[in-house]
Amino acid sequence: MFSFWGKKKGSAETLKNRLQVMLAYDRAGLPPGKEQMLREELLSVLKKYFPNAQNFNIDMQRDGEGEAMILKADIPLK
Amino acid sequence: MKGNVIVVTSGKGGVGKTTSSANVATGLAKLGEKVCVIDVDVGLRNLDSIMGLEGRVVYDLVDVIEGKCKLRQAMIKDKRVEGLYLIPASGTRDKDALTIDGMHDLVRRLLEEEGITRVILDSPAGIEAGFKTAAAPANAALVVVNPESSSIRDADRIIGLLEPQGITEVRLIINRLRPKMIAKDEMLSVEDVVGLLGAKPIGIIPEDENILISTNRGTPIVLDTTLKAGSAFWDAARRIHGEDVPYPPLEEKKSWFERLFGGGR
Repeated sequence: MFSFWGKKKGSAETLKNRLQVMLAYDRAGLPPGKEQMLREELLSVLKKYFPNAQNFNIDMQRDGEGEAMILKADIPLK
Repeated sequence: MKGNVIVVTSGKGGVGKTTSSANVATGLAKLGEKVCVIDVDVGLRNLDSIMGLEGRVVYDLVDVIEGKCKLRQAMIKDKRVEGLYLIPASGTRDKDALTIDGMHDLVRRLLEEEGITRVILDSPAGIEAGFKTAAAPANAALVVVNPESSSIRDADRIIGLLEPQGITEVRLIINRLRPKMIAKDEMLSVEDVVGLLGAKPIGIIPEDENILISTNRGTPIVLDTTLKAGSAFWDAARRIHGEDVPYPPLEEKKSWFERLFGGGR
């Protein structure tokens, strides 16, 4: 990655960002691959009960400082 | 630190756990505390050689716990520093010989009968039974961490396991920092590590080849405060002892070349 001046971004920054995500998943006890499975299963259940609703959005987010993970579901029901 | 029974742990091996145990214990004794440092890494005895006391081992931790010797007989008195004792690990037995009850009883007797004021427990690497046995009698923890990926991840796991054990006083010893790499943004800084782990440091130790040299000699580096890492461990011991010691700047002076051309920052 290159900044405006063409200076290479240090690997420390890359590691810090990677670790923030790693630690959040570790603390939640959920590997990232399973998050995808969870999301797909939740979506199929929602579609079963609300066949006409659309735009479900299920997302895994870090809470503020990155201490905890939040499973956030945006479920508009018409 | 308020806790008088401190477990030194890390999760990952090879980050400087035993070196930290030896230096913190030696430093605290130099400050006038009566310290007993226990090598709980049963089967992989190392603390005795790092402290240069390997030639005086007769009895070990398992012997005391099994009642094969008196507690006093297994406490090796360090002749360089007043008030410093080591209970070595057994080099032959495996960790199943230790019990949590046995560890509790041993620590209680050190504090109540032997006049020890601070117990340092050098934990084995890993997060399994060995660590849990070492941490059981502790009321505080030092987590040794290097500024790299696997050490931080393992330290985070360990910190998560300490709280359920009732250990709430948790401080970091951040070891093997390389100021030049940090200045180039190629190594996590102290602030980065603290932010990621959400625990406060009490020791900030720069990488120093003199640590290997002092280990070769069997003399804890904290006994020579003219050396970078010796001074850093001495400061850490004073903070644990309760003194308010500021952190000296880690960055070395920039060369004229770096000042002129911005030194990669």
